[in-house]
This record gives sequence, C-alpha cells and structure tokens, in this order.
Amino acid sequence: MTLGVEVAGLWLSYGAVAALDDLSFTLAGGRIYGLLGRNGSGKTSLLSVLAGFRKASGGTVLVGGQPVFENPRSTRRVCFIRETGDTGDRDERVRDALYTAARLRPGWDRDYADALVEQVLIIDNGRLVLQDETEALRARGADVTGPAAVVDRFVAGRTVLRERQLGATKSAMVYGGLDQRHRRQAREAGLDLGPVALQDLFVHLTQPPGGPR
Amino acid sequence: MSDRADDRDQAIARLLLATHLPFLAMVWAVFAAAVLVLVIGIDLLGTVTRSVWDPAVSMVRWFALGYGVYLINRLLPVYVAHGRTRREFLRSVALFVVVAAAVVGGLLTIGFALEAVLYRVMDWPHGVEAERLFHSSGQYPLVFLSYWAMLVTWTTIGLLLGAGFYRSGGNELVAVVLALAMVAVTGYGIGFNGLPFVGAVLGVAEVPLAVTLALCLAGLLPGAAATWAMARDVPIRNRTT
Repeated sequence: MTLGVEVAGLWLSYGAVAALDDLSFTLAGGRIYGLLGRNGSGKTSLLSVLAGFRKASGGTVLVGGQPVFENPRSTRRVCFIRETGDTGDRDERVRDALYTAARLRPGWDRDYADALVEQVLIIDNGRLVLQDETEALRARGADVTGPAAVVDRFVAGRTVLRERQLGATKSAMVYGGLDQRHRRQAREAGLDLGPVALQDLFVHLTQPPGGPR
Repeated sequence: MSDRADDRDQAIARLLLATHLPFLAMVWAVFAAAVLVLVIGIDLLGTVTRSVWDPAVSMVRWFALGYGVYLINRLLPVYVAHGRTRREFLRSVALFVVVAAAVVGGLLTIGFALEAVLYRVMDWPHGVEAERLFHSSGQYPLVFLSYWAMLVTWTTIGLLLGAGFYRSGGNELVAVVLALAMVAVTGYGIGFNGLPFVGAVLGVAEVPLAVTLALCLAGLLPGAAATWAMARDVPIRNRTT
C-alpha cells in the first residue's frame, strides 16, 4: 500500500521566524522522493510536520487522505528516520530498535525486516554502519561484512537502502533551491536535475538513463 | 481500524512493562543487597536501633522522579518515532506507572517484611519513621499503600518535570512550581514529603486514611493534568545527547 501526500497552505513558525510559509504540493503514492535544500531552508521542519513530529502552525497535511498529527491511523503508516536516531536510545542496537518496531507497528513483517538487516545493512557489533564509515572501519581492522548501502546524504539524510531495494523510480523535490555544490553532488550520484516546478521551490529529479545502477 | 480499536490497543503499556519490570526487579535486588550490607555494617560498628529499610525506601522516591523524567524525555520521542501518538503514549504511561508502582511497591514491602524477620531473629527493635502512615512492622497493607503511593506520586512529579523541561518556553518554571506543590500536598498525606521545613510546619499526618488518599489525589490530579497539557502536542526535538 502506498500513500500520497497532500499539503495545502502549510506554514510553520518558530516564534517570529517562519520556517515554512504557505507551502502547497501534492505527491503521488508509489514513488520515492528526496527532499533537497540548503541548510536552514526548512527540510527537516517539513518532514517533521509530514511525520507528525511537529504540529503545523496552519494549513493542512494529509497522508493517504488522513490528517497526520496525533492521528494513529496515519502515524502507524509513517516512519521518519532522522540521523539523530529517534527510534531507540543512543546505545541501543539495530535489532533492539527492530524489536520495538515489531511490538508497536501493526502488520510488521519481522522476517522481511530480518532479511533486510542481513542483505542491506552493514552491522558492526550491532551498530549500524553507513557507507561512508565502512572504509575507515575496515582500515581500523573492524569486521565489516555485508553489501554496501547507498548513502545519499544530500538527498534525504542517511539513506540505508541500496538502490535496487528502492525500486525503479527515484524522485526528489527541492525546497529552497540548490546551490552549485548540491548540483555537483547530484550529477556525481547519477541524478538528472529535472525542470523546476511548483513555484520554483521544487525540482523533480528523474531516474538516470539506463535504469537503476 | 477504528479509533476505538486504537484506544484499546495496550501495546505500549505491555512493551513498557515487559522491558522495564525485569530491570526494576534487578534494581530492587541491588537495593536489598545494599541495605543488608548497611545493616551488617551498623551492627559491626554500633547498634541497630531501628529499621534501615524504611528510611532507605524514602530515597527511592528520587529514583522514581528520575524515571518519570526519563519516560518523557527519552521514551516519548522513541514511541512517536515508532508511529504512536503522544496521546496513546501518555495514557499507556499512566497505566504503566500505576502497575509498575504496585509491583515495585510490593517488592519494597517484601523487603520490609524480610527485614522484620531478620530483626526478630537478631532481637533488634524494628522502628520506623514517625511520619509514616504505618507505625509497626505488622501493618503490611499500609506499608504497601505508602510505598505504592510514594512511587506513583514521585514518578508523576518526574513526568511533570520531564514534560515541562522537554517543552521548555516557560513550561519548565510552571512544572517546578507545580512539582513543589505536589510534593507538599501528597507528602503530607503519605508521609514522604521530601521537602525541608514542610514536615516541621505541618507536623506528622494523623489523619484518616480517606483524607490521606484525598490529599494524594489532590496533589496528583493537577500534576497529571499539567503533564498532559504540556506533552499532548509537544514537538519531537532533534536529539542532541
């Protein structure tokens, strides 16, 4: 089941500072999107509102046609992973976090989760290791096994799924515009920046020619 | 899936109890061992004149307070990140606190009873603090009630402080003031006031049990309501530590 996202007139303020100002867009379900933008452009704020981590100051946010904030019908089906590691205590291991998820997420597929851990994540003594840490760990003699994970830091924080697990379509929306560095990183990752859309705030990234790498 | 079905979902409370009760039982075992060592030390160096367990239990309230803070500051974000609402979490935490306090209160009462047996064997006087609801070793229902009420009260105070400081923006000050009021009101009732001067001013509680319970509720309900108000829509912050 895939969920679409509908945002209308969204605004979010921190005191006198507007982090999101009258933002409206619709994202169809069944696709994977990335959110790009400069530091402070409101990426985390937007995702926090979409995930119900933060209450919008105004406007509407619907995920799968349902309001998100404090609505268990929606929050059960939304997962927002920040690099600050909200899904467990800092010292907690990956499998502990998955145990908690299995107890709290209706319909959790434990076998599939275990398979992903085996196939996708690189586990070093129970700790999640990301692609950019792997070589450094190997250099220190750590026993790092398993296939590499794709880390699209500039797209969506630390992505831990390999590209072939992501499916055939990869898209991204850009909030707050892209600078030259972001564009270079996008090209290096094999992403084509598509046409500017949605009031010049969003850029649609299309899958590179030849399909997923 | 209806909202009513969600309301009946006790997954959070079950998970909290399943993961925390074994830890709390281990803490109790360590606590019991420490009290036993203390009793032996007092006997070796001097004379045992009264219960060591009972005043030691009064220290447990600070542990309960810390646990309440932990539940809000650390676990609320975790459960929200796992797709649960704040409302569900707070309701489940209320259930968890009541049940866990009963279990820990029961363990503390068992410890008190075991100490009474030891004192009887050693022919030591088993006196308790003057401000307690109970006055002798045999009043175990009152002992349990006192310990349970103390744990519920101080964990709730921790929840309130946790919610106030997590939300910040002035809420922390409101939480501190309310917490002090809770300590004074409930402490007068259950005999664990924990504040300097309050006991001296108010004296030892010699009131009917119903009045004691009323004082507990009078302190708990505003604190619980304030916790709910502060935490029900609190933003989940980026973790920094």
